[in-house]
Amino acid sequence: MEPGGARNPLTQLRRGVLEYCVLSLLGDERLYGFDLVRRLADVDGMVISEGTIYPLLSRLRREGWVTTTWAESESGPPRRYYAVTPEGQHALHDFAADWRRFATPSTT
Amino acid sequence: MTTTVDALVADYLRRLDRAASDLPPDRRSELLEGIGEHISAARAAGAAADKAAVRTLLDRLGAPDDIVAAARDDEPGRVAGVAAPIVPVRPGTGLEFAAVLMLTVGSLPMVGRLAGRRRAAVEFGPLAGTGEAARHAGGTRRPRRRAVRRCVPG
Repeated sequence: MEPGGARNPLTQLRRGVLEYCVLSLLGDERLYGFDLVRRLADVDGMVISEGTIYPLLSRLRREGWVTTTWAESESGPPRRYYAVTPEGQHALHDFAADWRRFATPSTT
Repeated sequence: MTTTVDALVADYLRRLDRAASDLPPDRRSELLEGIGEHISAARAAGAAADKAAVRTLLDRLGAPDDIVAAARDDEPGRVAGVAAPIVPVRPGTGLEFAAVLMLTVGSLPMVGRLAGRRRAAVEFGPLAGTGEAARHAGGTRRPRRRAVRRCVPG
């Protein structure tokens, strides 16, 4: 954990934006967990504990922003694929608009 | 080698199972399934071929306690490990009440029932009380986040 733990502003920021990163990645294509997690890790070290993505995905599913489907896999048991819902897309667009409003005035 | 990898994985999943013992049963099984699938997919991708690789994989997953803590954080009324009071609000007045609370308590995380239907964890940072609250009173039903990071679509 970073200094200050949950109260560290950077931790708060990362936590806040992480779900929108997930929605953004799923917006392009549905992904299974391992694939999604690795792509997130490629985004500038976004994730500290990769396992915490799974509770996040569960929450997004409960919110109705993500759905899951099962698909056969050549290399073993069926895998759970995550996909973004129209509501999730809407939430992502709203967030992006908010963020632009937030970030556009000079933020030194 | 395979036996050692299996043993390391089994030990990790056992610890995860123990740490998750107080989660609601459906969340617990969902979590264990997700992590289990992650590890299986990693092995299928050749990312856990030997002891060192699987240790790295499990390190990247993180400590079972941290993962379970994240699952607990998603429970209504709890945000970031701090028990936040659930703000009961009547449909239609929820946001106004939540907005007033936010203005008074500043940057504390809160949980509120937004617009009567969907529960969401709402975190307000330094911008709390600068007019964002007034905008929230308009009837939105989604959690708000403030962030300055990449990974946001243009």
